[in-house]
Amino acid sequence: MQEVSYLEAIRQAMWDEMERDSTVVLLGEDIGTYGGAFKMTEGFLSKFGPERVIDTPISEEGYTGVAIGAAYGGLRPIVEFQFIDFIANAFNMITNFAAKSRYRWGAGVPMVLRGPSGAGVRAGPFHSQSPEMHFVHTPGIKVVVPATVEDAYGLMKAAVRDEDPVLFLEHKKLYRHLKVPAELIAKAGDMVPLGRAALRRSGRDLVILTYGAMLYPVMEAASQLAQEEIEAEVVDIRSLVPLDTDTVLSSVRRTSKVLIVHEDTRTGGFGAELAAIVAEEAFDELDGPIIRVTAPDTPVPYAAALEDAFLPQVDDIVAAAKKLVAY
Amino acid sequence: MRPLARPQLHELYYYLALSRKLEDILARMHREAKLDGALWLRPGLEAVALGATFVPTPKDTVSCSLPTVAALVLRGVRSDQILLQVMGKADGASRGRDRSMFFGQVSRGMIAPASHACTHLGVTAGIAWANRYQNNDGVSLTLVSEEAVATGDFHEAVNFAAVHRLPLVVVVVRNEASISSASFPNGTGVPLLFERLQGYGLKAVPVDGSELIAVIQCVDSAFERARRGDGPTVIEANVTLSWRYEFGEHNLPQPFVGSELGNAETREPTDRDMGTDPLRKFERYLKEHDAMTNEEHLQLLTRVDATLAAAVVEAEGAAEPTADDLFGGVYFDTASPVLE
Repeated sequence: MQEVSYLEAIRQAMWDEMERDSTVVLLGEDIGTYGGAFKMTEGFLSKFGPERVIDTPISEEGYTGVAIGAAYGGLRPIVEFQFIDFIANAFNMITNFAAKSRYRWGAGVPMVLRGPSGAGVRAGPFHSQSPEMHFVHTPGIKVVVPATVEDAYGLMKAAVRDEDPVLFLEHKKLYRHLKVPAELIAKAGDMVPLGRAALRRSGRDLVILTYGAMLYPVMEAASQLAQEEIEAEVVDIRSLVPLDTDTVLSSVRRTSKVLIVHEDTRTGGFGAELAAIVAEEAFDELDGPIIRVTAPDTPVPYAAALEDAFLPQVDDIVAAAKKLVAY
Repeated sequence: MRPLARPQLHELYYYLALSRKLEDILARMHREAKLDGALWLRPGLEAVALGATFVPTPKDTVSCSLPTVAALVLRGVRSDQILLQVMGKADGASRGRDRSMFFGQVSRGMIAPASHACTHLGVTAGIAWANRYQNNDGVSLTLVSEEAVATGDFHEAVNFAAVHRLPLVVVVVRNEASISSASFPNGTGVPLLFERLQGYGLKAVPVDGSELIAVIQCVDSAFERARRGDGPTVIEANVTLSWRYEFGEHNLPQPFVGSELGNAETREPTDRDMGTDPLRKFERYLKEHDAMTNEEHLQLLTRVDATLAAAVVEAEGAAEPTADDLFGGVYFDTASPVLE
């Protein structure tokens, strides 16, 4: 049985979009001749040519600016940050130029900003970050975090076709570990719309709100909880901006207890935003406090013992769920 | 480049004079508290901005980060539109959402800069790339201030443009107007920028920024080079005057009104000032070459006054934006693509 990985799904989505639409172009470091640090874009240069697949100098701010201009000029650029940690170098262009462009003078920037994010591969502070909140907090940027192979494919297609800048955060640990049968993404044209969360598991005792690679420890925790007759509903947020509050609040009302799990650090993480929304919109539905399981407020450490202590583990999620259900 | 015809020369003088006079009006409005916040002006840059923007055609793109009216007028931006924008009116180009002359209009191929120095240069390099990719012969013209040359954004943008031989023309305007960060020795390690910039593998040349015809010729050569596929050009345009004073009865604007520079010294204009004022220089040029009579000069100035008087009435009577418009334009209005 042929399988396709999370990485291959992203690659296929970009390939399909570039075949469909000649205005879709790629920029990034080592993406052409080398095929990308993770081989995400292997074969793209020979297929689409050097005018559409640009090997850039190490200048994230510069080539993000070039991508914005290319978008003004009628192209639809996909910009790669070799590790998403390096998006910091382009923070100015993204937040002050791209994000405010339509607002200031009506010029939209249809652009995808993508790269491998996330921890758990012993890569240390500069190759493991979850930078979403810098951009969630910037009006004008959309942010999506696919957790499944199907979503990696479908959300990439939707991101390319979106008329606004979309930050597409891939989790590097899922690149080659997550695989599904190829026929699941074989259907051309399938897109996953931005702004729609996904109900991954129905339950009654609590809802666990999560996104990204944390979906997997959450689902494992839900399995373990089920053995003790605690049924957890699991919502994969997958689109941070725009956020599907209807799905979130619907699950909250159904279960009355909310646990939020994310890999990003605690303070100012997306969990804080979700908690505030739930408290404002569904306070009367709650039968317990809103609890978060997150990474602590530290940079991502390198050593295995430290990184394992940093990342939320299945046991942490199970313990928090039991504490919540006991209310 | 073909010699300019008499009507073209008159139109250039008209726009030079209009740019200067409109900045006078803006300065007066600011002193009368009719404009909120700080106001930045750059009297004395008219020849650089007008000369540079004279060359692009409708298929080309222009972006200027210097707050000068003269960079806008040849792209078809009317005086009332400039006033509406600077006054933050509902019908201003940014609908009151952005200040000053951060003017952008997609339909006119004008790219609005941001306050962050030189961020627009990478963007215009990107447009140049898109133009070449789409085989439409368009060139990107970008005006940057001299202090922006020190930024990483400048370096990354010109480096990218040189590597990819993009159809990009950059005009670095040196006008002694930066607070303390400009030119040698505070902003750069060498006194002549164009010599330093040749090290990027592109063409870099100087021009006298107070000579309108010289600027047009220099930018025109750079555009031809770009269209031939020979890559980017950086032009160092020197505007060797400092307008940090207020003329007596001539009532020229106090520059940098509301900016951090604070007090301007007051003195009478010197021969040097008069000799380097691009407006007076072009007037002298036209008269010495029998391209403008005194009567034609007066007619052009009368037309400037009439245009601006009407523009002021129009703009002062225009509506302010309302809170209902606060959320407009943050995202594209329609929904993202849905499952088919």
